[in-house]
Amino acid sequence: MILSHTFSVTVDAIMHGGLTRFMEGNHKRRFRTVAGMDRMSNLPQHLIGLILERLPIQDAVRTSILSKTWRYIWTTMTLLVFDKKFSQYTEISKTFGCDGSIRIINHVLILHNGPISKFSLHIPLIYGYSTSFHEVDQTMLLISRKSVQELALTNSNRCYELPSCVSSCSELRKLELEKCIFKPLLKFEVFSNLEDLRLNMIDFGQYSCGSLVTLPKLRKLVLEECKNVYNFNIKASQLIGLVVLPCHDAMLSRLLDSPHLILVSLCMLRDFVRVERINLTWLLSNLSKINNLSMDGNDTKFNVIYNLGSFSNEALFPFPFLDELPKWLPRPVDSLRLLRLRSCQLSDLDQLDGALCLLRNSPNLETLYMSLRKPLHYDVEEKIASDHLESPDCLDQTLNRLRIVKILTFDGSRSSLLFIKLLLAHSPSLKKLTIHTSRTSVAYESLNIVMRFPQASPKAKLSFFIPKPN
Amino acid sequence: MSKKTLTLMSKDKQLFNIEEHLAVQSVTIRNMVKEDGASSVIPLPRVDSETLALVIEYLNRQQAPEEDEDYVKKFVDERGEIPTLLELAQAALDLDIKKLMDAACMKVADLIKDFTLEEVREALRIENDRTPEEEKAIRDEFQWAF
Repeated sequence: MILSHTFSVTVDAIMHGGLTRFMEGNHKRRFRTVAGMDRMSNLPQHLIGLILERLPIQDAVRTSILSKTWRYIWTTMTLLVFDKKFSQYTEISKTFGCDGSIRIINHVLILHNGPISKFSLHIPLIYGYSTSFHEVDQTMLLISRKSVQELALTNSNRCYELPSCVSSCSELRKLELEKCIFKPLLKFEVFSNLEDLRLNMIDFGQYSCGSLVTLPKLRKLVLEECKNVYNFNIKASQLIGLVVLPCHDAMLSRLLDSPHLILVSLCMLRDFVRVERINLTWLLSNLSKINNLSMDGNDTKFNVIYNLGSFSNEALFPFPFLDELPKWLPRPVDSLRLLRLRSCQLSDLDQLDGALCLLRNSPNLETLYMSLRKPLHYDVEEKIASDHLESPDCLDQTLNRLRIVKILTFDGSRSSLLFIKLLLAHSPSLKKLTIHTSRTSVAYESLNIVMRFPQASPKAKLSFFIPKPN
Repeated sequence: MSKKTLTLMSKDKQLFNIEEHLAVQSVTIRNMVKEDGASSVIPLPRVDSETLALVIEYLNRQQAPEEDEDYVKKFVDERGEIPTLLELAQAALDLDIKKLMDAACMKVADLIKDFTLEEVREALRIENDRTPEEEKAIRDEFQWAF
């Protein structure tokens, strides 16, 4: 009886080419079985569901053929993942056209029964533009009725305008979106349960002017390459993590006005518009709990305040006002443990001063990561920066807690060597200094120099790291 | 102060001792302890002794938190047989030990992912009660999955 079924399955498998492993023989594997027991009948549907959720969706759907009991088990899965992999899977089978995956997804959603806790959707490159986005709208409509708690959407097209039904997903806790447009209609305040929001290449629309939206439970916010962010006018008082990578118009002063922030990563310079006045003195005195801070070297220019208040949108470059750089901040940044400075140009005296000021004012700093950037005008600036680094009052503070330093894209320049010398001389607890460089010759030359620098810490381990060429 | 010990009893009436602070990694046991102090033996009428021994071995692990993920993966990998894994997953589900349940379900999924349907039926002891016509209807409906 069972053998004849086996036969029919394998014939079908050849015809559809779906089950690649069947050629290896059906009875290769033997399992320890408990005598006379239909194991699955003893296993609750809940456990089966948990296993199915961990399979690629096509494998889960395929189980409906196993037996009559299995026909609809997959339709109660609470985790549905139609990611890029799934989109590629349907593209390979060709039968469904390039944008067939959306039709399949909608079919699955119509059959699906009960709530969905986590849903991932990838919108593949769509050719028949208008009609196909209409199908994506249907997908969104279907999931908006499913009490989704986690929603992730990736998009291979230029952008997708989110339909207003997304506003019905009031149970969302985590939302990840890529390349979408938010209509002004879309009311963000309905997401009152949102804890984690990641927006990548989102356009908030040019002509809307968002009213203030409160997201009372938001704890993590990532904004990356978003447009018209000033329309995304939020207040999130429980925020603990904030990442803003190049975004025009991000209203940082409002975002940073969250008393609980412990992780902040900013790429500021290009973010400033309109009436924002931020400098790092302000930034750090505002972040009273900051533990982990990442920023661009350029943003450490304490003495520069960007203010475009009096300029219209036509101003393409920020207008700097020079302020005096304080040696000591009004309050030390006691909470800071990890500092990451990206593309730091040490020969730029302003950046160097900013970096030193951060070190001086962070008495509990334990870890420092720096990636260096080549200076534009080598000779003159190098000389000035080097002289500054060699002056005795350059850093008159011991970095008592600093234990780990990693320098990336090290170029062996005099200013970078002097900076390392300074760190070694001022860090009595240093355990590990790692220097990454792409050039072997630089590594060998610098190693000899760095080895001779006086070290405040007796147990510092020094290593140069040369990545393997690809 | 000596560490408090709990006694767990499997379906087949075998007794297992475990220190309370380790046992309460199971949310179910934690709640029982909270409710009545769990003075005597905690019966686990759905877990057989073989599986309970595994669960206890897992709860007794001495792993640093950062190595925990790798440990639980290895732990289930070493018990790569589906019936054992299913029992383990079920026990972890009943006892509410999330990491163990996740890992065991993931391992079962990984194993059956590459199976033919017949192999899945064999592994999970499912009897095929469908006619070839019914099978064909399903294949037609979900053509994309086959």
